[in-house]
Amino acid sequence: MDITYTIETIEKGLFVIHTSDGRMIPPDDGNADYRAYLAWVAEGNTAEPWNDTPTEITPPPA
Amino acid sequence: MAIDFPNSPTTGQIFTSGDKSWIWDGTVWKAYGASLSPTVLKVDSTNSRVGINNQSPAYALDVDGTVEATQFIQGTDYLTPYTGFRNKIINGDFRINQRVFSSTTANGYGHDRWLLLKNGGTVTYSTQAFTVGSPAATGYEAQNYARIVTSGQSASGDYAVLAQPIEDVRTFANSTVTISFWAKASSGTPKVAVQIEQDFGTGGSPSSVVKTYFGQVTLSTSWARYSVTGALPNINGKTIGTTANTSSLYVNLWVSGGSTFNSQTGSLGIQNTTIDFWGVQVERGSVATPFEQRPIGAELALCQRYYERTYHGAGPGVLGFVDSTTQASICGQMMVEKRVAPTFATSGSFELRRGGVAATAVSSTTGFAATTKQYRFAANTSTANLTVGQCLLFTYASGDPYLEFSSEF
Repeated sequence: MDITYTIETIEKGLFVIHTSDGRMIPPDDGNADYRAYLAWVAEGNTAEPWNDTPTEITPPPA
Repeated sequence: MAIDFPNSPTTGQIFTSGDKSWIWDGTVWKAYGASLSPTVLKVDSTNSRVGINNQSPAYALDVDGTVEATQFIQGTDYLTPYTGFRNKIINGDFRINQRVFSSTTANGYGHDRWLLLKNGGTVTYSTQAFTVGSPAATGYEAQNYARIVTSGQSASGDYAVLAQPIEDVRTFANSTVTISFWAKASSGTPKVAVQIEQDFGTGGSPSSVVKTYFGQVTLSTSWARYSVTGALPNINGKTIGTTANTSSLYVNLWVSGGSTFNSQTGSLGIQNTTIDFWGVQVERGSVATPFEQRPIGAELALCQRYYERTYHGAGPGVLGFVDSTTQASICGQMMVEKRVAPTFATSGSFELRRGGVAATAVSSTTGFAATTKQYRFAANTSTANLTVGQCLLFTYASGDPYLEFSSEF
């Protein structure tokens, strides 16, 4: 099954990638799932917005 | 019986009569080997070595046989510890199965840290249970083993591999390494090819993967331990990726490999067969030492650096606070710090509980953000009955739901 992605914008410029099989991927270059998403984008795909309403959530401390 | 010592002995000369030996120190004959048979105890004073059941000791103490100690044997060579964490493989006995996987035919993880890599045909990776009292090896009463069933493969690009990525390409670089495992086949005498890949990670311009073929072993239909020894290349002059914690050492157990992969498999070839694995160990040196059995808590923690499943069935759940009438922020700490910020998923039914009011069902989770230690996500409800600022508990609604964090390679 091919995975597709949508992108959810979080306040303060953060975002998270939703997969069609129900996972959420943080934009971390070391995360293998995020790299798979980047490869998917590099193939010419574009992630649709998750929804139009940004989620009100504060990022965790660095 | 009189003992006739040699005339004009040379210093260091050993003379044996019956079960006793003497050594000429230049002045007198001294007892050599005490009262033990010289075939049991050999004192090589010239090279300052002692052999037990070994007439040509090559080391300070060279024993042919089993050594038993009532106290800890201490080694000062940090490269080759005698006990503890010799094995760089995690979950080598397949006992940790946080995903509760039973079988899979897709590329991906099954038992913790164990990865099926396949192409072509049908490859089924499953967990199997040992019959109590019938382990793969005497003295290692284990629970589970891995089974790889390969069928329908024929093309040059087909393959089936049971693999584990060991974090950090520096591991065992420029060293002699021994890979050992127990295995058996359902029929015939198929082979397993062992290969290691040094992956320099991501970020910047990392060096290309270095693939080293270690060798093949031929199986039978009974459990037996096999080992191969080889040298991992030096990484001098190589560039490791700039993204932290992304380099690795892939240990690949090939059960089938088309001709495309001959250089990696020693021309293993396509094998449509059933092969079982247990007790995988990768260690420094040329000897397959006894399979290391770590405490289950330690092994689980090692696994959780890469994957963690947190069950909330009848458990206390995770604390949060209300952001809006339909949303709460949930935050917590993972049990073990992850390799990188993990991918997150939930399974099952959760609800939000506050004091004095009925629980509200969680309709979705969004907005996940994490470091390697902490996480936060939004729990959304369809019912707009939350009070902003209120603290609450994100917990199970029914069954045994769980949160999942994965930072696997």
